[in-house]
Amino acid sequence: MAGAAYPDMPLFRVEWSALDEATIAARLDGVEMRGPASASPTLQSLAGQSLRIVCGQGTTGGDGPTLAYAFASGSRLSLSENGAAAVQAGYGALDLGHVTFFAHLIPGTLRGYAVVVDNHTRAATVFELWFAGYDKRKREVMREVYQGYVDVAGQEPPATRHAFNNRLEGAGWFWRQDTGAETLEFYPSIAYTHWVELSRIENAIGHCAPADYIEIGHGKYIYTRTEAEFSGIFTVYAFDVNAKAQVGLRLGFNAADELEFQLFRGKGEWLGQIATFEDFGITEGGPMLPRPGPGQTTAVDATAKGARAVYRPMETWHTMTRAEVDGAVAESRRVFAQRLGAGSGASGMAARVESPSEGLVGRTATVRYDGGPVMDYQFTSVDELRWRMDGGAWKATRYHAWEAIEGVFLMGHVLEGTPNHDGHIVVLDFPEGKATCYNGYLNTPWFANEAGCRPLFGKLEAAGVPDPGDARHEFTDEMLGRAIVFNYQPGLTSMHLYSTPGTTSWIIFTPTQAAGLEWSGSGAQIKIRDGLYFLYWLEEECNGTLGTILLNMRTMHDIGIGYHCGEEGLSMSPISALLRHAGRFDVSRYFPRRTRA
Amino acid sequence: MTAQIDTTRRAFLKAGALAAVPAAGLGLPAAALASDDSKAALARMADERALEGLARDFVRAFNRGGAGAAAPLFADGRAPMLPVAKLALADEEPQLAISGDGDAATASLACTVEEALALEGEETLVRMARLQGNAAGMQATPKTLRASFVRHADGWRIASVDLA
Repeated sequence: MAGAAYPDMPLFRVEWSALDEATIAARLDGVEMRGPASASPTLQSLAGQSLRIVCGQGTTGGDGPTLAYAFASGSRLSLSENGAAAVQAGYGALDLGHVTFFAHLIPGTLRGYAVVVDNHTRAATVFELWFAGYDKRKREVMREVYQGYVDVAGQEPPATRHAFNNRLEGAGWFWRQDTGAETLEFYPSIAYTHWVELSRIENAIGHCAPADYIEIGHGKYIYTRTEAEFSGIFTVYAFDVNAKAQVGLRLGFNAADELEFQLFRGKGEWLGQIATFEDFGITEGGPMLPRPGPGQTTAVDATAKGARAVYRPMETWHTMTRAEVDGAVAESRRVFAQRLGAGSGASGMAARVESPSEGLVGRTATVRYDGGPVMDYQFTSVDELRWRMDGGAWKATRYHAWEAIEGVFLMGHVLEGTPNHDGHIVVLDFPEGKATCYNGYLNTPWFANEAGCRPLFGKLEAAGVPDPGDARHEFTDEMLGRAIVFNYQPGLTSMHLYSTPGTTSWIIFTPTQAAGLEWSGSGAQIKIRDGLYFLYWLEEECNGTLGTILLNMRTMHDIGIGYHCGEEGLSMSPISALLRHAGRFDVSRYFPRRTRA
Repeated sequence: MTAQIDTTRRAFLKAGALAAVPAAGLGLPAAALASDDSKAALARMADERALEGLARDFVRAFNRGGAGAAAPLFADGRAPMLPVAKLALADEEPQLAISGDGDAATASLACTVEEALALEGEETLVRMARLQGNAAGMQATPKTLRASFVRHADGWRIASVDLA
């Protein structure tokens, strides 16, 4: 059942209604003739004019239509598609300098158009929009993009066209619309976007969606976002990076299943620009067409109208019941199953992991977590430790540890026998007598095989270790807005973007080092030392993994541990990468409560 | 279905070598080319060139943008997702066969395919990387590109392609 239009929860937790064609048609009925709402006065100067737009090929090679518009007034038009009988519709238009933006639906259909015309060059970008094009989520607005021109009798077609390219890659903007909506919008990819709802949703975290980035010219661009996997709402706007202004459209159904068909104007603030990693001279942009690589079996139709690569983790993730989790964990626990290091043959995100440290072997330690358990440890070998919780019975288990800086170790192990199959991923800070744990656990309220994370701060007691008193490692905003690139192996490079105090987004680079598919989850950042940070992220409704890394900004190297449960059982695995700092967006002013704590 | 006549480009060129040169350049009297055999030979030569050109267009389009880019070359507007990253045609004559009624054809072209080595792992990042076509590396393998064609009113279209 639909509830609030914008419930105070992450978008991946909203139960989006499965709207069918009839329901969508009913919601559109009447709206097509009224046209979109607009908080700002709409452009009236199209009244009495006609416009013939010749669309070029779409993004998958199909021929676009020829659209003959006649604007009867500032709010009513008629449209003939490919010479067919004209239909009447309501529309709204806004201008942005010499750019005209207008949008309308087509009565009696689930379709519409949004059009951007550069009146200087006569180049036009046409977005054909329709509902019910994606069978599994008919509420999701589909789009095809045509880059054409305004045909003027007696004149040659203009040579200039709007173009997909990578000119916006790495930029970030704050937008405040005339509707009151405020967002942080990042363009960290050629084909995806990451955005943070600052006003519509109270508890701001970032989300990701497929996007289009199109250059009009002279500092003007077009951006689109389709909130795939969530509401399916489509946003398109033309904007001027120098004037810091936008005009656009929002179309789709919110969480209350209310139709939003809204033009908007907005003013922006530039958040900065992070580095891009293509060779200079490579300008290729999106959209990324579906073209799976080897080992990927996802069925895709690369030739369907509007087809593009869309990451749909919520569709592909296999969820498990608590009983299934208990059974899978009893069947198989793979904790640091493989010895690592040079020549080990490790793959995936572990290919760069060094051999585990022997630095803890023979030591004993006690960790007293504030409001948490007391953990006693005996490190009996490089692979095995003994632990007990709150003075209980000793248990032996497999662990691995890596020394990030002298005396500071990242260590992980599973707590066998705990009802939620807990794992402790701990930074043991011997020089300062502190310990910080990301306590992973299963059986969250959402899905049994989705990991949750409980950060625990405490003190480390061991021979020769100072008492820190009340001092602890702390949540930090020093990573907020930063983007860090992680190369795990050839062909596997990901960039983290810490867009809010509680968000980690990851963007996968293409073979040409453009940033491509993107997703995100909740997370946190804890400061261990200046330049040394302990981070986690959760792959919620995605893969269920808890990922952690201890990141050294001074050496640009990291070591991390992942905690995951699937049908194959419970696993704890190391990850490591070569790092590059891509830069930092200036977003701290949007988060007066700076850190996650 | 139409019966196929086996023929190869090399055999055909041998038989119709004169026809491969523009008639005007040879200075032959028009009457000399008026026979049915000559007309058929010219038509067949034109078809062969068109078919080979279409196969090369497919390779270029596929390398540029995969199935999406190659789709307009196909009779039904849909190109298959060949499980390779890149195609390179060998410097060899293609094997061509045109049906007796001239409405269908097949071709076999020696080629080298660059096949991507799969990124191993089931981590989210690995899955996403595979989804967008990333690979751990490439290996080149000699193969044969097999194509079938159908004639449309405005020229040849590809009906199917596969690799053997």
